[in-house]
Amino acid sequence: MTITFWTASTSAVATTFLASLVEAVEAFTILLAVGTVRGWRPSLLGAASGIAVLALLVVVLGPLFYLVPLQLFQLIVGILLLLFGMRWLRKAIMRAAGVIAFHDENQTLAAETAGLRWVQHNEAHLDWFAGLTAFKAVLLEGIEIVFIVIAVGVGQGLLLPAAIGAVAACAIVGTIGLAVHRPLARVPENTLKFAVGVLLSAFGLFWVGEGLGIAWPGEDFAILALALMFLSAGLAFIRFAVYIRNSRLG
Amino acid sequence: MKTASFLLRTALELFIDDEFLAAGVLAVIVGAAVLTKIGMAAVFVGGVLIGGCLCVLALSVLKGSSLK
Repeated sequence: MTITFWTASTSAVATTFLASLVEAVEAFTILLAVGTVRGWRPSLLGAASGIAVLALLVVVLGPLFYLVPLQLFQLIVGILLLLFGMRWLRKAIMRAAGVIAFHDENQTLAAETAGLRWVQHNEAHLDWFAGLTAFKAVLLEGIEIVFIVIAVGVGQGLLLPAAIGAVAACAIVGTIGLAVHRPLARVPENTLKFAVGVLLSAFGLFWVGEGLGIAWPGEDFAILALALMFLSAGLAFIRFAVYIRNSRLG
Repeated sequence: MKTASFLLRTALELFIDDEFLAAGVLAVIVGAAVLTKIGMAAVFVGGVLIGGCLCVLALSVLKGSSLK
């Protein structure tokens, strides 16, 4: 086991753990809304169905990734990771600068609960609707987790550490969420999103380069250097966006 | 049909939020690929990738902050 392997593994675990934490908190809020309005049975059944579909996707699609030549795989996944990571980074910068509103789990819970209560008065088969809501939440947030785990893990043989990071995050959110029975609104969602955006952009850029045949100096250590660069730029862009916003407001 | 378009839209939304950012990143990657094809030094192409992505992000933030 080389030091570069440990560096890459640690980055992969940190990335999938933090990203999954964000997604799991969002999914849990919706499961909580379903559980509060209609009981835990449809909520847990919907969640279990969502997890089953995700597992099926991984089992069916997973082996196909090994059929794609590594360099092409790295290029495609690198492009997708870069788009995904920079999208998160941009949103986190805009939120930190006060340009767009922060994501509020309490607000999401209130909106989801109100929506389900409205349906309760108008729909005879609410259990189905509630289960479907839980299913959709787990599937949509879970697809992002699966994508990040595969993208970060497969290309460098780090699928296991990447998956461990994701499973650990989901287990922590599930355990704490079920214990407190409240949305995990105190999780610093935007800070996590910023950190994940930095890490995914670094992984993405690294792999786009590898896919194009660029041999990065320092091999896997280049991921850390790229992450530091995105971090510094991201922090500078927050100040930049605050400045623009303040000048516009006079 | 409705489900297929929902799935496609959801998949696209995973990667594209601001069209300018997505188009800019893709343009930088295409540019870097062209530079690699014509035999430019890897260090230079790496620099184009890094600089290009940061410029696109800065412009996207500038655009978003000015409009909102």
